[in-house]
Amino acid sequence: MALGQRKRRGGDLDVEIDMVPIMNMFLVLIPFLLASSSFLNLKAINTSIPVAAETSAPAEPEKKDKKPEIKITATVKLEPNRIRLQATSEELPENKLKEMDAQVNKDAKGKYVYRDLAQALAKIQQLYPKSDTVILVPSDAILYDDIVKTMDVAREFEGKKLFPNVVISGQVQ
Amino acid sequence: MALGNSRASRPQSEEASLNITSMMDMFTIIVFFLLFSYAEKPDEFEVDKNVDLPASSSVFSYENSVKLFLSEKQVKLEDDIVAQMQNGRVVGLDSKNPQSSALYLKLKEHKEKQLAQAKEKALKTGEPEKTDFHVLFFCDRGLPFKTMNSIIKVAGMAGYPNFQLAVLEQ
Repeated sequence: MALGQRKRRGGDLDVEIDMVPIMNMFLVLIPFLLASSSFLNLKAINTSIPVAAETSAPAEPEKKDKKPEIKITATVKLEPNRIRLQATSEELPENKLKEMDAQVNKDAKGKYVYRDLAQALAKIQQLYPKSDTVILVPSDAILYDDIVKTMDVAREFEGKKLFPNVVISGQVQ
Repeated sequence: MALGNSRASRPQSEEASLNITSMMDMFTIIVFFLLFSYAEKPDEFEVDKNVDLPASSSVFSYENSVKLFLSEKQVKLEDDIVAQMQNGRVVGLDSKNPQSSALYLKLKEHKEKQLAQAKEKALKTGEPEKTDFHVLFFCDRGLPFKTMNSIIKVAGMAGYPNFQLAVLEQ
């Protein structure tokens, strides 16, 4: 019998479960699960390309009691030697927008100084908290790895949320 | 010797038993851990070996959608090779007439299939029809934007303006 029964002196049954078949099953299951499971943890970045609107929506009348919420769209131009940040908005004059523009150069090792870019984006976010979109315009030679890093910085830097929507756009020639 | 003395003093009929309870505990924990981690990712698929994905701080999960693999050698749509790459350019993709490329035609085919399936599902369940489908891009980290952009444009023209970029968790 699989279940070993041993009689005690007092007449009680001391039942011992035979663990060997369960052990055998586990020994088969563990290598199978290890082989079939993937340890590469894949994630995704949601993005899109700019799409032209089919019809222009009529402008909504502004409510008199509420100050309009100004939204800034940050355009980040990724160039081989620098990153240029331009602020665009229909609700602000050109000189105000110019104040938010920034340029980030590469360091001595030839890497972009992402901290400077994050600080420039954080400044825009602080002034206009409703801003949520960054248009990323990489040059043709920019590598995908640098694009992903810039997107990461534009979304969040050192735990601080910046611009959740990052759109990729090619340069207009 | 102590060992020899004890063996000699034991009765010959005694069976040696191995306590496997702690081993069983360990195995049970491993099996459950593996089973749960397996169940979390029902959509496991094989990533093209030629594609070296970049790492990102993104926390979003990917959705089961059309998968496009871009490596330095070729462009693969799901399991089919749709184009070869040569010096960072997609062979057979005319930038002036992308509608004639195999990539565009295959993507269009996928889109039509997805729309038909969504329509069928909407009719069966009564839920609103899904129309926003996207492509899941697996791009090699060393690819220049020029190459990526040409393919992204074709995907947009074929009806996929929204897409997800597959990355490795940092």
